[in-house]
Amino acid sequence: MSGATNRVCPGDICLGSDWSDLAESLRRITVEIRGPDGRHGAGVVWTADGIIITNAHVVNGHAMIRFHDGRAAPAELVARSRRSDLAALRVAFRHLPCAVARDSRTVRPGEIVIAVGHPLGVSGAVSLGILHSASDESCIEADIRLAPGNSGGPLADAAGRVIGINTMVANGMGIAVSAPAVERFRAGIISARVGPA
Amino acid sequence: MTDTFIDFSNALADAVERAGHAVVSVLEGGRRGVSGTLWRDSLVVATEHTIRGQQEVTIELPDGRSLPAAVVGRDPGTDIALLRATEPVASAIEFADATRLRVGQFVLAIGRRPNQCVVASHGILSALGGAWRTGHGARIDHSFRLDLLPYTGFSGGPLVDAGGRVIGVNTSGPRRTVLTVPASTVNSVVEQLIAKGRVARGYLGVALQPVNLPPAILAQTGTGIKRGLLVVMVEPGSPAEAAGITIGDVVVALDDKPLANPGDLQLALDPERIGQPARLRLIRGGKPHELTLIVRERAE
Repeated sequence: MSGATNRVCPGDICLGSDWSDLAESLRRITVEIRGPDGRHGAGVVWTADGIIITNAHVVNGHAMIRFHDGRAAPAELVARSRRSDLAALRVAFRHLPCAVARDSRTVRPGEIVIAVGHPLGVSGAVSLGILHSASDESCIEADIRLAPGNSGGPLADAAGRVIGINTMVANGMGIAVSAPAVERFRAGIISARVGPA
Repeated sequence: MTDTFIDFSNALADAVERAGHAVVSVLEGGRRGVSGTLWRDSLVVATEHTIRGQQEVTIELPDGRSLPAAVVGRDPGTDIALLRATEPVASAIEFADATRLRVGQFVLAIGRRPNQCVVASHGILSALGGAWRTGHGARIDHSFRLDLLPYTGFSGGPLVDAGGRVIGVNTSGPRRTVLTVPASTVNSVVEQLIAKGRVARGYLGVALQPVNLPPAILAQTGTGIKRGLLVVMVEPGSPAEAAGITIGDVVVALDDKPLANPGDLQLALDPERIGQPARLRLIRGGKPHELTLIVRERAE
């Protein structure tokens, strides 16, 4: 936690350093994905052993991953579901800082949400908004300004826990695939791997 | 590490939840539903444009009940309609102090979808202004300019402060903006709709054309402005005819207020002016003339 400098204090509420710490921790788990076909988007480091979750519309095969610290690595496509618009990539890294998922069934409309991505090519850009609706178990609507390049990036709560993967913009609202839907997708990959050939 | 931020987030979610107790979903006939605000016990404020032509709608309450609600009255001038639920419903609405609103203040637009779910979008009050008139001539007590994104079905829901207290009722403005009718204006419309089922607006019975006044006449008007309103039509049986206004008169002042545009006459048409005298100064045959007209409500 940084000191009392750079704090913006409207009245007796100080959000400045809390907010920038939170933004920084989310940027660490957000990667930039570039496919050989020119597709570009964001991804979330989902597990410390190198599983990266993004949208199916961001990747179509292997891709190059760039981490927040500038390291780059090739990634192989592990699974892709066009129905849920999710894809999983794997990079050969261990001990990565990774997402802490929050069950989005517990979120409430009005909660602060934060998105990180690369809107219109701006790397690691952070946006702030609120949760619009939490009525659907598999998708979350947020009143937050997103743009192409945010796809595949995290939508997180005020504690930095990931509640969804930003997927599209509809009528100005951000739509994210919920964390439970991501967990189901991931469980499907694991069961497919251990199941009968 | 981010306790303050989490507290702020929780406070906002609390505000949405609290305000949501006074927000209903209005099923206006097969579409996706709009919002309504439970303004008083069993009385719901909705936007007139969303329920136009309907006498009864279905409302879905925060407690899950779905009830028919009859349209008590409607006022296209302010885009407010009042509905009465067929069963008693207690209102839990809390109002913000309109005198303490400030530019930059955090606000939320709350709505409810047909499936019990409260929805919210956020923004700030980007400008505050005084009273203004809608295209229909209705007076709105304050103007709010918002930096806030409208969403499907937000119309009829409340604009609330960061504590969930109601500032006004939202409707669609021009260029995909949110227009908020302040609570004080909604209150006065609600009173009139309960009493009469409509908001009575005054009527004169003239058609007017703004004209520039020649210098010789200008000296006689005493208004200091170069324009007047030429009477081009007088409706038979109207207050204007009864007062003796004729085609060719140029109206220059109403109760000593100069008139440059037909819209300036709206002052004489507010509900409280009905039955009251209005003093008109005009130019007739090149000479100043004065007459008194009794404002009436237009016959249905």
